[in-house]
Amino acid sequence: MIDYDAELKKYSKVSDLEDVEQLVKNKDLTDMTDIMKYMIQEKDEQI
Amino acid sequence: MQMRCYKCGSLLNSEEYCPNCGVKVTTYKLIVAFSYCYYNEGLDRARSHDLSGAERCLTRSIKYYKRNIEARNLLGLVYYEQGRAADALAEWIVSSNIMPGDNPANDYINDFKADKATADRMNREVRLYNEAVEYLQNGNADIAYLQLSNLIRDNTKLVDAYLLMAIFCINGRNFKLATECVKKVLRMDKGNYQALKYRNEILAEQGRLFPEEDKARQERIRKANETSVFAKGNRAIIQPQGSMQRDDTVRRTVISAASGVIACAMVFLFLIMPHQISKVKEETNQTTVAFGDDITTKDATISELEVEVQNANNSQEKAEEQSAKDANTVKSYETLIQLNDQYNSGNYNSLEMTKAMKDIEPETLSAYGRQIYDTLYNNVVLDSMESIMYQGELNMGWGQYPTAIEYYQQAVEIKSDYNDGEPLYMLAKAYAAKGDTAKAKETYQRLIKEQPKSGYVSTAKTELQELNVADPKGSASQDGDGDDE
Repeated sequence: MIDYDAELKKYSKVSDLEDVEQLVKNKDLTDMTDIMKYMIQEKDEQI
Repeated sequence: MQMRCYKCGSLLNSEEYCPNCGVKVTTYKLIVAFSYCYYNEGLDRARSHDLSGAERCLTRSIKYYKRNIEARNLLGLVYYEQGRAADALAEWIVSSNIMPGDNPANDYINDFKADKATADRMNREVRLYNEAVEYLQNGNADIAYLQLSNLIRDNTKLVDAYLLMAIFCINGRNFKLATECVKKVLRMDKGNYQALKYRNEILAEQGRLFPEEDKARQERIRKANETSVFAKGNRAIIQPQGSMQRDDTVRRTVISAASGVIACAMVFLFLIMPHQISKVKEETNQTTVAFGDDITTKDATISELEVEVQNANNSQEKAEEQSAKDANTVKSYETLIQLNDQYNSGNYNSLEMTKAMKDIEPETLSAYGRQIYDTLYNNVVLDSMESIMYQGELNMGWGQYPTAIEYYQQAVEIKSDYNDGEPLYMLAKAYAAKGDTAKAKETYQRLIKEQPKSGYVSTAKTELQELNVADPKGSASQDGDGDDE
C-alpha cells in the first residue's frame, strides 16, 4: 500500500520560464574530463 | 565525430598521443566514448518513448563529457516533451554557449521564442501545477483537484501533473480516473517508474476491493485452460480435456448416412447404368448417320463463327475491365471529396474515416488527388491508430484480454507497421496473456518475418523462445532465430 503523505512529499515544483537564468547559472558543468585534467595536474605538480 | 585534444585543442587521430602536444589521450578518448555510449542508449530510449530512461542516460552522458552537444540537445528535447520548458531552454542555452556555430540548439531556442502561444501555455501549466503541489501539501485538496482537472482537460504534456492526480485519486479511491492518468503517462513515457508503481497499486487495490470478482476472474482463466466446450442441440456441454466419454451420436449418424449413399451409388452404377448406356448408344448411332452430311458442310461455318465469338468476347472483357476501372476511379474521387470536406470542417470520426479510406484506390488518383489522400492518411489514420492502441492498452491493464485483442487486430489491419511494429507485438502479448500460446507464437513470427528491422524483434524472439520452452509442441518447425536484425 502506497503511503500517500510520503509520496506527496516527493513532488516538488517545476521551474518556470522566469527561472531559466538561475537554472543556467546554477548548472554544475564539471564532467569526467575536468576531473581527469585535475588529477593529471595534481600528479604533475607532485612530480 | 572529430575529437580535439583536451590540452591544446588540435584534432586527434587514432594514436594514443596527441599529434601536436604529445599528451596521452587514451583515458580521455575512453571517457568520450562512454559519453557517446550513453547518448546512443538515451537516443534509443527516446525513440521508443521511454522519456525517463532517456533522461537518465543523457544526464549521465553529459556528466562524462559536457561537450557532447548531441546529448545535451536531445536532453533538452526530452525535457520539452515532458512539459519542462525551462529545463529544456537551460540545456539549449548551455549547448549554444559551448558550440556557438552550427548548432541545432540555436534553432530550438529561436523556434521556442517565435511560438509565443505555446511558450505561454506551457508556462501557465507549470504555474498551475506548482500551485496544485503547494495546495496539496498544505491540505487544500479541493482547489488542488480543480487545478489538476483543468490541466488534464487541456491535455497538458506535463507528466508530473498526471502523476500527482493519479496519487490523489488512488488516495481518494477513484481508481478509474487514476487508471486513466497512469495510462496517459505510460503512453507519453513508457519507463516512468512512478506510473508503473501506481499501476501496480491500482491493480492490487482492485483485487483487494473486489476479491470475489478477482477470484472469479482467476478461476475463469484457470478453467479456460483446462476444459473444452461443445454444443449439443441448444446446450453447451463442458468436458475436461482428455475425456474418453465424448458424444459420438453425430459421428455415427454421418457414417451411416454416408454408407447408405455409397450403397445406392453402387447399385445404380452396376445394375441400372449399363442398360441405360447401351440404349443411348444405339439411338446415338442412328442419329449420327442421319446428320453426317450436314455436319461436314457446316464445319467451315462453325469455325468462322467461333473466331468471331472469341473476338467479341475479348472486346467485351476489355470493355468490362475498363468500365470497372472507371467506376473505381469515380468512386475513389467521390469518397476522397467527401472525406476531405469532413476533414476540413473538423467534424469527423477518425476510426470511421480510416475505414472509409479503404474504398479509395490511390493509384487511380491524379497527382493532386494523391496529395490530398496522403494528407488525410497521415493525419487521420495516425490519429485513429493512437486511439485504438490506447484502448488496447487500457483493456490489457484491466485484464480484458479478448477486448484488447480486438483492438490490436483492428490496429494491425489498418497499419501493422505503426510505431515500429507495435500493433503486432502487442497483439502477440495479448494472445499470450489470454493463454492462446499458438496464436501468440504465430503473431510473434509474423512480426519477425514482416518487419525484421523493427525494434520489437529482439524482444519478440526472446518471448517466442520462452513460449517454445513452456510449450514445446510444434517448436521444431518454429525457428525464431533464423534472421539477423
